[in-house]
Amino acid sequence: MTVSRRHRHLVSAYVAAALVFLACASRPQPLPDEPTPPSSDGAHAPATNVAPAAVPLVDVTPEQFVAKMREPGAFAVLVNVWATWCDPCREEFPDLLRIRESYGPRGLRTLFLSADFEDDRDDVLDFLASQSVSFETYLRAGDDHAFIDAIHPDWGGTLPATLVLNSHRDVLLFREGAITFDELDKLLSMLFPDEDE
Amino acid sequence: MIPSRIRTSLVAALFACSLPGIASAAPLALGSKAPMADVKMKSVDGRELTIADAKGEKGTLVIFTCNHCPYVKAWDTRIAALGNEFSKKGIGVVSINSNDPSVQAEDGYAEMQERAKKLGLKFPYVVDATSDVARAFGATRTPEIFLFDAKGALVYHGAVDDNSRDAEKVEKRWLRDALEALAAGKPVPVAQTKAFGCTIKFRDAK
Repeated sequence: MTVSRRHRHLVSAYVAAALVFLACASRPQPLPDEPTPPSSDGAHAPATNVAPAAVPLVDVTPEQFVAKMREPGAFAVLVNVWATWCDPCREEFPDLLRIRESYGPRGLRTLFLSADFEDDRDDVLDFLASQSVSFETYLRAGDDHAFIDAIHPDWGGTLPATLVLNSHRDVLLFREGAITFDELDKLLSMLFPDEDE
Repeated sequence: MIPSRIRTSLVAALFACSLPGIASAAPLALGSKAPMADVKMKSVDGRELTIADAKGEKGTLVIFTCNHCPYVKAWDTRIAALGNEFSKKGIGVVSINSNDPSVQAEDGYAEMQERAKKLGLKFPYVVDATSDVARAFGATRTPEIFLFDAKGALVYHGAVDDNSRDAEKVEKRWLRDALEALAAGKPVPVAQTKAFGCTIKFRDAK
């Protein structure tokens, strides 16, 4: 049986990913941002309410956040900067969670960064709990300017902001303003290698 | 097969062209003149006003703002104080609301009038009725500051200061420093700054 060129390419991509994963696994790991894999019978478990106290919200400095963006091991990285006071941010959040569910298992690292003030941490936790977020997300610590500059040089600080980066840190998408599931799905489906039929 | 890095860059390039982007031009470059300076905008006192009308002999301060955004509310007494103070020192000041009130009812005209009164604004607060003025400036958020010198060239763009939350903890008073410099005929020390803010709720482009 001849292996098609396309399959050979896929195999080498998977082997490369596996090697990268193994290499990363040998280093001390930061707190994981693991996507929840779909349940084995193909149906998703219904989202259960998460108590605010159970939401893992981690304070980060600009340097720490950029380090998370750049950590090797992801096929692509999606960054979304949002705030509880930003209506379009709250409205698009479910779409972003769906993107994370779809592409997380295929190697998309999703990093949510709240630009809320530390004083409003409870509001942040309440919102994340209402969205059933049980994976690690981030709350900025430190001044606006340093974050904005660190995340993208062309960004003035408008929220929401969404970026997609590949594993070489090329910025494939930079959106100042709302984005939809369909737009991200379109980009990511072109980006990720086709799944085997 | 195309190497994956090139493929992802191609995908990005194709995709960037097809995506509906933010509705503004690129932000105004330093040195540029205020665009759409002759567009009439309705002020809270009922008058029609243009940016050219608001021009001051030492400079012109244009503030993109709205009523509802918490970042605006955090800075609004500081902005009002700066605008009121420097409009007496030869800087023309105009505050522009480009938001679509059908997106956010709090950004309506009546609310603008209330807010102007509450803050004791001594400078005009006007409606950018098509959101085109914001588009022309490349403004994307509120509050967003554009300060032009006596010759009408952009000399400062960005944030009010470095601490929206707490006026007492401000360390860098960027806008105040820029206004003082202009009023004294000196160069502006820091020209471009950034801060978080709410997206401008653009009305649909015609």
